[in-house]
Amino acid sequence: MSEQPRDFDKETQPIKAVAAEQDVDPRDEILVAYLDGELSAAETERLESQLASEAELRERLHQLQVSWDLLDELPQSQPDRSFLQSTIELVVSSSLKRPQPRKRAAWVGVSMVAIFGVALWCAFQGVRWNQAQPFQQFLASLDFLENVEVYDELQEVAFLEELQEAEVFTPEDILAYQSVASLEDDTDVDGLAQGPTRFEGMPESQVIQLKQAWRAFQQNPPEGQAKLAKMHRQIVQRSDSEHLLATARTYANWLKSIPIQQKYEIAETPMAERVSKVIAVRKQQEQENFGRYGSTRLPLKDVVPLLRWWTEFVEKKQDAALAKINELFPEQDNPFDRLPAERRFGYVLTLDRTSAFALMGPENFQDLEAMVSKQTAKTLAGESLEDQRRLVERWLQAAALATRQVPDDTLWVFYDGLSADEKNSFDGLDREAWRQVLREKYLENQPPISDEIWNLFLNEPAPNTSENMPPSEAAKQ
Amino acid sequence: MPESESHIVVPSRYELTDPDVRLMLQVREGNASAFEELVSRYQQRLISILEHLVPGQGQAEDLTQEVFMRVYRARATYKPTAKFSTWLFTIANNVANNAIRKLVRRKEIHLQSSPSGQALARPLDTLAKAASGLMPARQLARLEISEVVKLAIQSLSDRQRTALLLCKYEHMSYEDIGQTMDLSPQAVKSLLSRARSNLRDLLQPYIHSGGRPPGEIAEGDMRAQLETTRGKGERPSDE
Repeated sequence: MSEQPRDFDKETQPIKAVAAEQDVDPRDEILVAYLDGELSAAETERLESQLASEAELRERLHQLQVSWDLLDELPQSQPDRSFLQSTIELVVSSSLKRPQPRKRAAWVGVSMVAIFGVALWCAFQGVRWNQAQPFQQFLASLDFLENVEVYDELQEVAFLEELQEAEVFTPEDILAYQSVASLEDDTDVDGLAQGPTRFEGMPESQVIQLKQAWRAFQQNPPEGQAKLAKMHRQIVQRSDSEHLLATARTYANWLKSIPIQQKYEIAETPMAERVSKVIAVRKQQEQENFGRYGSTRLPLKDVVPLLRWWTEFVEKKQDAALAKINELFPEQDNPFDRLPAERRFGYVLTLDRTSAFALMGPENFQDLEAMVSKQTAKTLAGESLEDQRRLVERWLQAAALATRQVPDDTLWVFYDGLSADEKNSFDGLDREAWRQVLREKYLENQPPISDEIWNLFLNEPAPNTSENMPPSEAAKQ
Repeated sequence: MPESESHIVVPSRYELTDPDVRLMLQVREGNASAFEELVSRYQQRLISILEHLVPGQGQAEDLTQEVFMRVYRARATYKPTAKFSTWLFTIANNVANNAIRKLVRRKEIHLQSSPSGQALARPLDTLAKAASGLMPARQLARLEISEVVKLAIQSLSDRQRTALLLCKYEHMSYEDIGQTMDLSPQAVKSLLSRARSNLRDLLQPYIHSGGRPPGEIAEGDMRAQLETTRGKGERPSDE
């Protein structure tokens, strides 16, 4: 076997030279080219005669062929029926774009109203959208569509006004939300008028959302379309339209975060009492966010001790976690070696939960009992070891969720304090990614173990919620 | 002979041999139904390739639309200097590269913000994910063959993956792949051999006679195998 490859190499010297430079097994390169029909007649003949005499080479060829054939196992996606039509519409509408000089924001409000006027007039009149140019309608109505879901949640402008008046959502919440959600600030008239300019500049996720909103809107009966359009007109014509819209979006976003039952209850509440209901649900939501497991609940005052216990526990168990990882990944150099201790444990939990929880012994829970309140210690002590593990896991999950719930005002203040370069790195992100990445960045700078952070989520006492604080104090969080 | 110097329009060899080039020339003349025909012919092919090149739900369809948008925009200046599919997939490759760059940028920000000495957020995140079933657990220990193949493809470098997919699904010659990816045929040859060697190594358990049959590879094994192939957790280099 050792001599034959040498002959083979000699005969294919130019190929070998390139292969050697790029660290490719020359035999594979020739075999792959052979399978792809890319060898010359002479090369093919040479290779085939070698294949006839070399079993190892034949096996190599076989393996390459079989692995290639395995690609046939991949499922092939089929676009849905509407894909062709929507592609044509998108393409044709994009071709309507004409380069025009930019004009600035003074005209934005007037133009927006004018453009929406046209689109909304169609809806009011129950006019069918022009089948020949539906996508142009879509593009002309972008701002309407950006909010149509929100209008659907609100039902009435009066309710929105009341929400705003009651300051259910803080100005900082709204400001933070606007900073990522709003397109109005830097919208130029021509871009708006042409539609495609704005459309093309949007993140893909937003385009998808708008397309969905468009389809959903089209499925409404004419009177439903007219109602939503009327709401939009009422809002955009007001001098405080931006603030109202921001409140509306914040509300709609918040609705997504609450259980379906509560959402249903809000929807069932008469309009006159709905704002009070929203306030009550918000308060209840804050209270219930922590530590629930079945009928047992971790008292809020024990959240910070629990997290401190967890830090210490992870520290203690890092060697055991590493041993477990090595067992799971027996390579010499496994990628988890480079992880910090607390992440190793996380991976063990992810990959092998049974083993991970086996690392939590009675002595660990005794440590925890010593750190938390008597009531919590009693709850924990009354459970079997298995239930203790589950209980603590759920408590930790609740805390993990809370970790991610850094309030928007805090995020916004944090964003404000970043360098221009750092801000630039965030600005290309879509709304959700912006929040998520910024939140992570914030938590990195401000480890969530600090009592101040956790106080944000604790309901007792709650002296430092942003509603009750001057902005300077809120900024410190 | 350049067209500008002659009133006689000489059809290019591609115009003569490639019906899709002829369709595109009709699009250039303003024939909308020719464009629709091209979209219809290529939409599925583009989606199939793009969904492996750029991760993300719905991304492939959006990018496919972007490719067609670029084709339509370029119609006025279109010249048949290659097979239509080669030209189309060149655009698709550019579009995919742009999308990947955006994703990488986003990922970099994630990485920059990842904790070095952070105490809690990550393991707790992981814990929450694990408990919520979003992360693999014992019940997800076994993967279907198609998922294994998908994982294997995803573990290749972007360029290896692109070359591989064009070769496999578009049956492109090395010359056409080279034109699409702006590489010499020799570089394509080399790239594809690395791609296919990597693929073979990754799918080894399915290849060996007497090896475990499809559907019986544990995810941990697959991961370990991927990591081994990648060295220190990196994707195989294509340089």
